[in-house]
Amino acid sequence: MIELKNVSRKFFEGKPNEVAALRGINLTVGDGEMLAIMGPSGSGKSTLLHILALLDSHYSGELIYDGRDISKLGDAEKSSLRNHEIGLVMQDYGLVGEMTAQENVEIPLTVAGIGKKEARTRSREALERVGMAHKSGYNANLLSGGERQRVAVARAVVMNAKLLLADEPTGAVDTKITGEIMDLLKTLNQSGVTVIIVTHDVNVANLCPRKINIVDGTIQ
Amino acid sequence: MLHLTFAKLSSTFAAHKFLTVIIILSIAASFFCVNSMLGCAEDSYRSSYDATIFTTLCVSGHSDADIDQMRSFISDECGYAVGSTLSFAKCDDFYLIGFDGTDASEKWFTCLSGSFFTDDAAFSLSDNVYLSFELSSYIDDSDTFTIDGHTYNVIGYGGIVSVNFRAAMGDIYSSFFTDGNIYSDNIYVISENSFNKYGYNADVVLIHINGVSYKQLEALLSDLESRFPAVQITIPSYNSDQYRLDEKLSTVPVSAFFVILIGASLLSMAYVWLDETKDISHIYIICGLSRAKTVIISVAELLFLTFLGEALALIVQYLALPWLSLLGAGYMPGLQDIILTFIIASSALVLLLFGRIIKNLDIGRGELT
Amino acid sequence: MSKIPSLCRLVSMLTSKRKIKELILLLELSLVVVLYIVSFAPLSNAFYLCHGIKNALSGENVIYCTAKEGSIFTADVISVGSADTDCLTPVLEEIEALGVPSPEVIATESHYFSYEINASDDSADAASVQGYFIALSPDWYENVTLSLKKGELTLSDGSEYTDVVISKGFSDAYGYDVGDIINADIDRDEYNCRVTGIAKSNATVVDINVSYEETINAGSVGFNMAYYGESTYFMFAVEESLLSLDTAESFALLFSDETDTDELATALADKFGETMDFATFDTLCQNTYDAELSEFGGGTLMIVLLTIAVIFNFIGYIVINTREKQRVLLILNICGLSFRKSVLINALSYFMIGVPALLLGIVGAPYILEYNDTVYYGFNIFIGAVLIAIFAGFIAAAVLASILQRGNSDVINLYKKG
Repeated sequence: MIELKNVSRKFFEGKPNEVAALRGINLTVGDGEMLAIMGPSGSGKSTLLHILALLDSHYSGELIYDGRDISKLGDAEKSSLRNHEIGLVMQDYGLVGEMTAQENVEIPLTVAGIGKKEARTRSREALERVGMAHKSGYNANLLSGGERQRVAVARAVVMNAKLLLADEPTGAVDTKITGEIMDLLKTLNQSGVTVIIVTHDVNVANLCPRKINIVDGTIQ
Repeated sequence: MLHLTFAKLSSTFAAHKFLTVIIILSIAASFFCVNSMLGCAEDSYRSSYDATIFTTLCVSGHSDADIDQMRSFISDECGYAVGSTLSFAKCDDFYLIGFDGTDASEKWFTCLSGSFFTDDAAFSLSDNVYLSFELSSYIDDSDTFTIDGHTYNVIGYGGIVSVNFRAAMGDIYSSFFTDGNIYSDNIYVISENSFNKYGYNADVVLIHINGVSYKQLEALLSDLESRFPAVQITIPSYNSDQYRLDEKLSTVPVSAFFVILIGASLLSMAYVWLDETKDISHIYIICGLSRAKTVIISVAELLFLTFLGEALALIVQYLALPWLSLLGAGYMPGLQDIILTFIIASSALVLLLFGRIIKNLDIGRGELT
Repeated sequence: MSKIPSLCRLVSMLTSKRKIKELILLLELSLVVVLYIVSFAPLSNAFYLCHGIKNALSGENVIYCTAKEGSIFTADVISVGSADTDCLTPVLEEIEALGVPSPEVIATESHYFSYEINASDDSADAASVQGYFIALSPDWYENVTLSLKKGELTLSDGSEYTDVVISKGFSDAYGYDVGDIINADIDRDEYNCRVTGIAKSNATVVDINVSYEETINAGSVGFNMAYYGESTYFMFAVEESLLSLDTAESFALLFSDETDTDELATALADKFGETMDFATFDTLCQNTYDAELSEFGGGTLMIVLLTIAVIFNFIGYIVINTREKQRVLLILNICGLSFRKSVLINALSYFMIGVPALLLGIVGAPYILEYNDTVYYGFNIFIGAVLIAIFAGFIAAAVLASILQRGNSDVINLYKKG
């Protein structure tokens, strides 16, 4: 599904404090895989995830998505791809606190220009899928950590994304919620969604069929 | 504590350059607006009747030499600027006024036709006369006029603002103009030059002093009385400082409007600024600084920012003074005004932000990560 | 079209939930628009006046000539509304000699008058007031545009009255209203004038040359076009200050477009300068602007300070708004919103405040002006240009802010900070 060929990423290039976050990463992730990317703090995991999420264009190398080299695509095309095909779940949930759970899940649908009625229906379905339909009218900042993360997952899959990227999805929740979130991600994976999880938690990584380690910007 | 304040301020600035600079500039903009309005008030006051009429000295029982010495004393020793001098001589059938000055003519005379002495410096040098308007109907040849055997060129016709003379001269007015009512067609105005040239002795002299406050006028009177004990000198009873203050106070609503317009955003930015810098306060507290001292440092920071803002505003105003003069605001605020506006601004800022400063003392769980 | 609702929803996401902040900004901006209109009113009026002159002239070039005291023009009997142009013969002959096509001549009169305020008005001072008026012949005003209060007064005593239109300033100062009678003493002849209209302009007169070889500009200089009733059209323009004008006649000479009136006015002034003054349309316009600008003086400072206050108010708003919006914009970015769309919806969020504010300000300003008794002739290109400049500046700043916001966004920082 997604392939990285010799991808390198440097920060502050040419300056005295230049940092090579990624060095010559080669990685292939097949359709329907569930992959955990592990590594210590500062190893480049999040940088890698950003590149996979098409949020970072300042890298060298190739990024092949479904057979297409998308590294040279413009911002509009990458944004469209991210809207339709990629879902992103972040450590701090990435929700707008003043909006309800349903409104938060509707965001990708609104970005895609989908009408209000259809957006409402689809967001409700996504919330049902993650078990949060009963709190669709609650403001995000009134939900617990686990509930917020579920809403974030719902938003990530509402556009029927083929690829779900999660950056430390369990970093801010307790063990019980971690289990719930991982179960949710597994369920999604079983339904055909490719899931890539960045984590430093060994227990979380162990729940994934495939694991890779990144140390100092390279895959061990 | 001062070093702690500056240390906190410099780390704040390093971390939030843009926000800090914008806050200082907003404070400076507020001060600039207020100071410009004060400059406008001062301009309005200085060009007003009151500023001229009620900052005059009325001198009688003097000699010619006394007047010259007085003027030198006022300008050279006391450092004030003499505006205009009016010398009054009571002749048999007429009153003669000698005018010497470059400003404030319209407070004493209303020129309805032609020119007044202040319109052209050359008018003061030759034998020119300014006549009351009523005379224009009777004079056949409007170009020349003869009084007391001396022929003058008529430069203009107009009125005499006797009410202002009355206000400036006080009791001396009624003793000098003993007719009761002044009939302006027997008052003629010639240049001081001609006044002296033809040997007229002034019975009363009005000396206007530019920009002086009533307190300064009182002090000046005291100095003059001790220097010239034989001369009778009076000042108007009306305290024009009140008018000056009224002019300043009249700018308050407009200044307040500008300040509120800027202040609304400034406060929001200040809230954010305090939020961003609360980590540093927490670190100080963790490291042993008392909460009270932390508050003092935060307040001192705000005072320093206000001070910087005011200083910047004054510098900009000073540099822009030539243009502000064209707009009728060509005066810098006085020291008293500067201090007063600083106190008001800094107090308001501290009061409005004090709640947030106190709130920032709380170190919650999960912070400092 | 289906994209528009989603665009609106995206814009709505960027604004606060209860829209209070946006409402406050809208009101602030409206107030700013009103203040700019109020401050620029004198200049706008001058523009309007000059435009009015030009409209009434219908493309014709005009030279106004007024007589100096003691000249051949002095008339014993004032026939208001008549066009006795015989006294202009030398001028017209000279124009013909210069090879310029003969102009159409419109007679205007300017007179010195005094009157006593009605004894029945207890509150009034019994002072006499001096001023002057211009009566213009009827032919000139066919397509004028200003509206006036019209009065309908039937006099029962059979007295003959000259219908006059008085200026608003005169009406306000001395309490005359439509239907009132003013007794005007013109050249020791008494004229009874019946007020049939109140012109908007405070004082609009042609340059008047007085008997002491000085030209006095009395208030605004220009023409206020007046049209009322079905019969004689008059314009009665009054300046309150004490001007000792003698009787002087004035005429307007209408030339065709091809005539260079500047050159002609100079040539006529060279020849007839001792007895007459000549002023072109440009001179009138310049005098109109000068007169309004002299009143405008204090307004310039207000505008400068207002602009400074508005700029800093807006900078502050953008700074705070940027912070608050940044998280939402980053989340929208994650959800696939492109850079261009992000800038667009951000700019639209400012636009939706700016446009209503502009409209509210334009609608509200005349009421404020009326409340303050400020003369204001209405919205025109001048004010429009000022408002467009404000609006364009506002939007440009908003777009720049949105570009910078999105350009500086860093998703890593978003969720590292939380």
